[in-house]
Amino acid sequence: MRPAGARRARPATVGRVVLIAAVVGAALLVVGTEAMAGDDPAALLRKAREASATVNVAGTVEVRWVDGDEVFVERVGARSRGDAYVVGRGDHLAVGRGGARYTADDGVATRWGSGDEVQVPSPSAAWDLQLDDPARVVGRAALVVTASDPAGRVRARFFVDRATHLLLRRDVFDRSGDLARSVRFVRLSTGDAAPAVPQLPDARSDVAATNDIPGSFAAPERLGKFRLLGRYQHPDGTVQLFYGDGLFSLSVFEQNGLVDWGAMPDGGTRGSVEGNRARTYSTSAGTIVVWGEQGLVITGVSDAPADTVQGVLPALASDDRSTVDEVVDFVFGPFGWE
Amino acid sequence: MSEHELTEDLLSAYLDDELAASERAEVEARLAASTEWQAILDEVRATRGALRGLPAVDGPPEFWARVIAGDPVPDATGRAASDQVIDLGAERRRRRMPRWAVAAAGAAAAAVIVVGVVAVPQRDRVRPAVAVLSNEHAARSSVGNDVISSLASIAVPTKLGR
Repeated sequence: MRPAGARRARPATVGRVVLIAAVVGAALLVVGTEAMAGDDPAALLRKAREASATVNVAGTVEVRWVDGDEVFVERVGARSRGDAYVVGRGDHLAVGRGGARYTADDGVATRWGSGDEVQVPSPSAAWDLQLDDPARVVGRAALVVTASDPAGRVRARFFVDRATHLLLRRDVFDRSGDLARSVRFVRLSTGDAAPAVPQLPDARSDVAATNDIPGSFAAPERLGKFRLLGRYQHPDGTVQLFYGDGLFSLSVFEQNGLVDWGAMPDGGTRGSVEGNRARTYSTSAGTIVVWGEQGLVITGVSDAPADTVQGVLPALASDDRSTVDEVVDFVFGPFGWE
Repeated sequence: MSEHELTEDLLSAYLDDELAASERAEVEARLAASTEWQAILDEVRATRGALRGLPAVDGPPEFWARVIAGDPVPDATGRAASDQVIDLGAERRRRRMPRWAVAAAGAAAAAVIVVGVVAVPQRDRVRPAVAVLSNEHAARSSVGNDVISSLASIAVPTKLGR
């Protein structure tokens, strides 16, 4: 027969052991999850995308980009609460809630109401992702992921907040390793300190997702490492093809007609795409390439490094088109002076 | 020209001073209004000058004697030319295309023009609104991606010209 005290002590001991095991297990789970995300750069970038939709933010974002010899720097206010976002103000405003977007720029208002979210490819397929030494951004500890091209050149660097996994900074580099474009927080507070986002305008979509692309438009499933993620029809007949490689995105806008080079904005650099006259612009959004080909005016827009964009766009030229269009181009091509 | 369209033949006559005063005045008025026809006049004048500048070539000594005697005259290859008389008017009519063929060719040409104008898609000059398209891309790119960094490029004034 055991002493009464011993009988009373046994449940308490078991309880303590269970409690300690639970605490240690939970701690290991948290540490394990952190370690997994920390060790796997692709997983860390995925968590950063998810954090963008869950972490409340109030701060200032600096956008820096290079155009030729000139460096442009602009700062805009940014805040989010839940899945609602407001960036900028006045005519230069971008608002979002869920999958809807409202923009007003240079007096032209556009709306994006397609809340479709597609499976984004793994960035590891196109880029060599590595964890770099930790850094500090806007006073916060950050994990750093580098993306290198097949030649081993670092082409992008992502700074992810260790505490919230929010993307704090994103740098894109040219072939020489010089900074081409950067977006980063220069002032930031997170959590409940973020103010509420005002009521959004009624976002009615003017752009419709479609699977019915006319035969005269080129719509390859792949452009290099970029995979076709969406096809959209704009009210003016413009077709937008949206591609992604898991790290960067690329839109190809196609319109029937010939490029009116005389009416194009000044600036940019002259070049060619598959032997067709082209002009390339560098903006805060990324690289814009305009050219005409086979009776189409094509505009490519991407946040990827410029040479990556210029390297994949020629694949549009080899895409199959209808026989009628080929005949029309053969007969009337010589008269399409540009 | 009210009665006569300006042609190279008319210009040639003008250079030869073969036109009536009224025609000459019309030609000169047309030339004064058109640098293109002035250039053509210069070409006609140059061509005539070049032809007239060619050296005269005398025929062989027995040429005229044979012509007068009615003998066959050898051609450049040395063969005697046929004394058969050719009716130039009949020959021209023989070579002329039949009326039905002319009508068919005209109809075919008209059909080609109609197809070209109506059936073939017209290709207008297009000025892509690159700033707007850039924002469209950034808006779509922000869906399922890091939202704030994508939307920030929209909130920044687009600077295309340098």
